[in-house]
Amino acid sequence: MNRVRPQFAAYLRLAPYDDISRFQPVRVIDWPQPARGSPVSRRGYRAPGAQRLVRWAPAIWLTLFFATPFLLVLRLSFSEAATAQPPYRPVIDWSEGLAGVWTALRGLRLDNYALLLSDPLYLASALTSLQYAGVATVLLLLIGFPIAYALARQPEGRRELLLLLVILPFWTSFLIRVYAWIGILKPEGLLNAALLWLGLISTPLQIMNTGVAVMIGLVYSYLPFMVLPLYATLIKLDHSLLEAAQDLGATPARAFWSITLPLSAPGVAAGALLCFIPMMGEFVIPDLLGGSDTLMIGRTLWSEFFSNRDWPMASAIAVVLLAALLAPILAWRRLEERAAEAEAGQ
Amino acid sequence: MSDRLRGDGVAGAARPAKERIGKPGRAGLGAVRREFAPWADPAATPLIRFEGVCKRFGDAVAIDNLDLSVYRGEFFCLLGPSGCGKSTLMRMLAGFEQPDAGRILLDGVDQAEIPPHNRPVNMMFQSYALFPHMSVAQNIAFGLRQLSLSKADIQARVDEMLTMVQLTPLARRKPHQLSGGQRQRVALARALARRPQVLLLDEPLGALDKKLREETQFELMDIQEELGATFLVVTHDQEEAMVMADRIAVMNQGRIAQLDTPGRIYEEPVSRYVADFIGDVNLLEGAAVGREDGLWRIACPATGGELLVASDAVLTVGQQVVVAVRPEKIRIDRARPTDVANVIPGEVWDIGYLGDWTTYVLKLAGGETLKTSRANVSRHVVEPVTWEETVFASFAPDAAVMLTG
Repeated sequence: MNRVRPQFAAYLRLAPYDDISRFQPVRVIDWPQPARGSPVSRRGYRAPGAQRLVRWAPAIWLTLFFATPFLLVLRLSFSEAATAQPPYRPVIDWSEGLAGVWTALRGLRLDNYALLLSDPLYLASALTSLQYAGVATVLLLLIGFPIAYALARQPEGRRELLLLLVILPFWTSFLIRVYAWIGILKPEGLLNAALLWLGLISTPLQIMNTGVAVMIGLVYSYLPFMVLPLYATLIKLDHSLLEAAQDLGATPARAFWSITLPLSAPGVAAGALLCFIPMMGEFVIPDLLGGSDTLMIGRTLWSEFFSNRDWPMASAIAVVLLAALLAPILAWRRLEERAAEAEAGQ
Repeated sequence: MSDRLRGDGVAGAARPAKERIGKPGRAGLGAVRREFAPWADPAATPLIRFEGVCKRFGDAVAIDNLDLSVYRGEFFCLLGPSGCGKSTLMRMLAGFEQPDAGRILLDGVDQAEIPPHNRPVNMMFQSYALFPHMSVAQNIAFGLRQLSLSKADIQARVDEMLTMVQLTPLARRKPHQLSGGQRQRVALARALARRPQVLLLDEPLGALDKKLREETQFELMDIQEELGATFLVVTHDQEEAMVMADRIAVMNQGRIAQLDTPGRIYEEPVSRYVADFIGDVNLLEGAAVGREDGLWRIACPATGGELLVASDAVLTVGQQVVVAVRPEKIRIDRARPTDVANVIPGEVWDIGYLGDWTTYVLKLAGGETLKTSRANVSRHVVEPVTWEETVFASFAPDAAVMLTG
């Protein structure tokens, strides 16, 4: 293959050689063909083993620690409570082999789900959860936004220190921190003692074991989860945008309203989801700080599991809760996708 | 306030050409060119006045007791290296920084107490600072929505601005869907929409590539002439400043090193700093020997002889001076020319072929170098000057500038 490529021919003619015949034309390099079984597959480049492992790691992790337990719970939710060890009837009779699976599928018991709908206890505790998680999310936004905003506006050195203080509570056990609130909120606790000493009240306030205590506990515990995503969004906000808004005649308040707020929407959404979802299933806080009227779904689940020893019922609650929580996440993603499509479509 | 913001001071884009303030359009070559030089008119009142303005950031002095006047309709450039205080000066005018001392007057009004959102100036930011969540039209309308204008008026003004910057078809796009040049035009339209008395432009062409920058320079000048607005541009690019500005203030460490028209700054720099900052220059150090026929005779060790320089400078004999000569003012010949006062022999050390120009670096007898350049007026040169050839560089006494500072 000793031929001159056409794009080189022009250069050869221009080359200042007296005798062009002495010039050795460019030899076209024969690219080596991939050998059979080499890492170059027909689909193109294939990553080496270690890289592939890293790529698959999330999938492996999710299969092992999310999908498998979830499938076990799902199977359990179709079972029936029994006085046995473990306390439920098996769903699939493995002794019959594949036929057993088929029988199980045909005779799938939906009793637990039916009970979930018919017994108002479950719906009521779900609604209570929704109410607490919803109100707490709004409160968290109202408290978390100014904190995140102030953090993002700090000079560099101090910002890191303050950020450390925000995540400092994580260094103490969550349970201990919630217990500490009992010490503060109980009738003879720190808060009442302080208010009595100041003369603001004459009899101790009953905060402990009420919805207020649960709300305080929720807002306190989840505040870092709200502040951090908001901070991450606000720190990226280009300050010159605010200057531009003011330059164009917007008062600082107006600039905040029409620039800062809309541009921090992703942080607001992330923070709200990050707080709302775990708060929906929260068990420890209502259990320790709440009273009999703060029956949240997580607590109902717990009592089904441990007090009633009705594992299948508890599993059914868990499955429905998961399905219900997936809905807002998927809805959010759908909205984002639609916004992206709308932009691309223009 | 809002009446003033709505801008009687500036003509709208639709204003007929004959009513333009000051300069006649470059487009009309047949038109009589009126001299635009309000700075030379003692009766003219400046639109912007900086009076003894100082600004420090911690220990660093950003602006050092600075006085400056900019006149209505002027295209004014603040030119200097980064950190010379030019941006600070502009940000003080916009209201984002407060002077530590001194006053800033705009149309005779002290701006000290006026917050940025009430000042009759608008700024085009270096990063453009376009609002990413708003469309092109919304970005342009933002400033108008802060005024008490009707929806129809806003729409009309937005359309007018879009037409001016030729972005009407892209009105609904978001900034991230635009090219760099298009973003720049949106930023310009947004800043001009409120018809500011003064438009501040912070490195307006810095983010564009070379070709686009050259085109945009002329576009900016056309728009400025069309609107008759006062443009204050901050730039570190001397070419940009030279092309666009009516006057340039060359800044150095918070002070104005020289304030003049581009031509005078280039041809008559007042200091070594200005001569060196603007364009290429040979700086030849020497000592004054004597004066004859309005020329100073300067002993210059680098050239191994004496140079004759036309200058009115008052020097004492023996005083150290710098003779500044631009490369293009120096001729090179193979034979020693007899018709020019200053002839310096040298060896061709380096040749830089730029297409339109060729620069030659000559090595002088004293070991110093001298840069000369020549326009390539013909396509083929029979025997071009080549490396290691001995040539004679020459320049007339009035081609050089005597610098004492």
